[in-house]
Amino acid sequence: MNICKYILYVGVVILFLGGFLDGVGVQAASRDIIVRQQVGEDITPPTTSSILSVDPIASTQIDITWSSSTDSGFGLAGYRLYRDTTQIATTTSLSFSDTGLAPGTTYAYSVAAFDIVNNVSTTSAAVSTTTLPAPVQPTVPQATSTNQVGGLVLPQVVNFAVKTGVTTAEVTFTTRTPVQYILRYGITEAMDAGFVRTDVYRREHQTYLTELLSNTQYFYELIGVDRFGRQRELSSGSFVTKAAYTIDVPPNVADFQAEAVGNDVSLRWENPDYPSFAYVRVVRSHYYFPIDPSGGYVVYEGNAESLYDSSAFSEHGEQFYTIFTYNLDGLHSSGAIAAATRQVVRGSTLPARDEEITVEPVEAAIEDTKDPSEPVPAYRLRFSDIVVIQNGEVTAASSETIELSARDLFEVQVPAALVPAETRVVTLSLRNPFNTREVHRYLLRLNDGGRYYTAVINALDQTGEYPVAIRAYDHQINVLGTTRGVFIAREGYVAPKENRFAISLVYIVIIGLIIGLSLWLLWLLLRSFRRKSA
Amino acid sequence: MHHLVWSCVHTTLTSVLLLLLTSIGMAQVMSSTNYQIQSDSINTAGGYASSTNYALETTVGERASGFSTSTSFSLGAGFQQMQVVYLSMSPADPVDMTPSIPGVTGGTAIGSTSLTVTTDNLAGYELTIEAEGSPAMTSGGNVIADYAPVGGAADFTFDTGAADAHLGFSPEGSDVVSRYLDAGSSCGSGSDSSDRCWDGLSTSPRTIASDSSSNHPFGTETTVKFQVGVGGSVAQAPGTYIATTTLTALPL
Repeated sequence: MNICKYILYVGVVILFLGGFLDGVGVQAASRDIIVRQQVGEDITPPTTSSILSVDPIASTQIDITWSSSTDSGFGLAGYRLYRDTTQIATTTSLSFSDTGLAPGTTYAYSVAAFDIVNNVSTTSAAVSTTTLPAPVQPTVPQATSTNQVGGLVLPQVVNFAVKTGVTTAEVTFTTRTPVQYILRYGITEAMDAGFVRTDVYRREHQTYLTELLSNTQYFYELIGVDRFGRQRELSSGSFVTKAAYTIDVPPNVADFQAEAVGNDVSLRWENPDYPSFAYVRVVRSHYYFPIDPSGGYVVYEGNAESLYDSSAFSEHGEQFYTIFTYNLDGLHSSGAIAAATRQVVRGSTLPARDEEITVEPVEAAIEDTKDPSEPVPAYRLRFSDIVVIQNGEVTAASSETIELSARDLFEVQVPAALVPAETRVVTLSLRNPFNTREVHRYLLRLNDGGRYYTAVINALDQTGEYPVAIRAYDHQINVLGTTRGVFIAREGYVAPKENRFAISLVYIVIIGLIIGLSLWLLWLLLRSFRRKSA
Repeated sequence: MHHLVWSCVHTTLTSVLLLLLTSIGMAQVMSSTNYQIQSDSINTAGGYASSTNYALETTVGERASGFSTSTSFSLGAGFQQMQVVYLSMSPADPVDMTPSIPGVTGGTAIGSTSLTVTTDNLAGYELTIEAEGSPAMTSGGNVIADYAPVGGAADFTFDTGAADAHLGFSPEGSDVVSRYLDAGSSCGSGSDSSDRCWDGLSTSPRTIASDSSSNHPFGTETTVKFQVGVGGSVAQAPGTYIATTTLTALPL
């Protein structure tokens, strides 16, 4: 008797069933909650901290640092900082900049720690220092190109950066010496929109300008003032806020699929979660994908999410569908596309399932077909020419990828000047990274100005890397060129509704496998026991 | 011996193959913390429907349940319209019990947290509570015991004897289960009164609230009250005692 079989068969049954239960198990939402209870009288104060440094940064500022304290009771809460005998700060950090001091004046600093029940440590020994003397130089900007005066380093910026948003700008910079600064900005060179001024001397600086106008050039001037009172222009120039792009047209439906069912075609899709979404129109043509809502036979109008196109193949064995979404203003999307081809039957009788002949839909055939020839010279579109507009901001693609949020709809813009003049149709194909057989295709429509081919695509929902192919076709549906890249969708995850059918099939297969294999393994075990008994 | 080794190898390879098949199947199942498949169309009577020119794997009731036909199209609302369950749980604040309990004289402290469970599951949900450890509340090597009701039911009042040092809980809300309802003097049925029907935590989940229908979109709030009692003859070591509990909402 082989004991290995017993052990492994039983193990397989357990793991198999365990895996099944885990895989199909009901998902739950849960929260961990911490319950805290203080017990006992905490009468022990924290340990005494000590002043580590008192640094006279300027005539009006002293920077103080101190050591950390520990508490054996309920826990440390923070520190109280004293200037002479006056408490000037309560903080949880280990440093503080004391400003507004008198020049040339001596101050003594001490610190005490306290815990969460307000036991206070003994106060540290005081450490004194004297602020710098009052500056004697005139406080006017010095128009000098040198960085030093009298052997002293003038305020000098090391790094300066402005990161713009639609209505904001983040300004960061570093100076060689501690400085205060004044940042003035405005839409004219008068820079009268506003200013930011600090009264603390630092080397690392960061500030945010808010309530700016979008897509607007702002002039700025940054002046630093060092501890000797010397002012110097650290930087000046301009920056442009980002354009607040709005997406006016409704997004296309998601996951538009067409499946041949005998002489009929089963279509399904997901309507966009879009506030002003009104309805969809499904248009069919046996020539090619209708590129506008009146470009073919209107099969359906409404807000359903599936459709059974009866007798679609009664006259033609191939049908092309475009579904347009409409918003309440009557604007329609560029269109999502899918095609179906009547399945070919071998002989006059229905073939066995494993002998079925599968004919790929035209769209899949197009997707998977290599370009018949090299792109014509007029096709100059590179992936880096593509931009995505999402949440009011424009994101340019790199040479191969473009990043976007998985949670929000987005508009893809392809410069019309980079595709041949004879272009009739531009399509965008997105391959589902979780089901590589699934390709969703969209028409790109030339915008009103004729500058871009655009399509608004619903939120991808799932994070991942979506291979993208953009193709231009001429009037004879010849491929004029293809541009490939990857959409990298980040953030969030929403359970995919598009895999409903696949999930169900997987369930059926799994259950069948489990029942069959479990019976088989039990039979093996019983047989072995019988033999042993015999 | 050779046969035994060969048999072990053969059985192992077979098992690995089966496990791989299992894994492949499981990888296809999609779910998230907020969603599950609500309705699946597994029908023993499903199979192949055929005509002269196609074969379609389908399931019983697909057309009958969902398609409305007209001369030009049919609308599907059955298998293809299968929905997923939405289940969410609002964040819950940590609980700082008040007041601090003197270690010498003892006393009681109370605290609470609230959360809202929302689901569109037609069969509703249940909410459970469990502790990370046993006993739930510890501070280093010192512990506060889990509250132990006198009988099988929850205690109508939170009772702390002179020698007790324990942590209990009491759920409140419109969906609390009957164990935490009271009839004025005992628990197990009746209505939900404030600060009544106290129970002890354990590492096994205990259902504290449930509903048999959808409560989408507003959800239902449940408050969990905690109480610590330290008796006068207990020399409870001072410190910060912490209990980590987990509240779990599960669609039914």
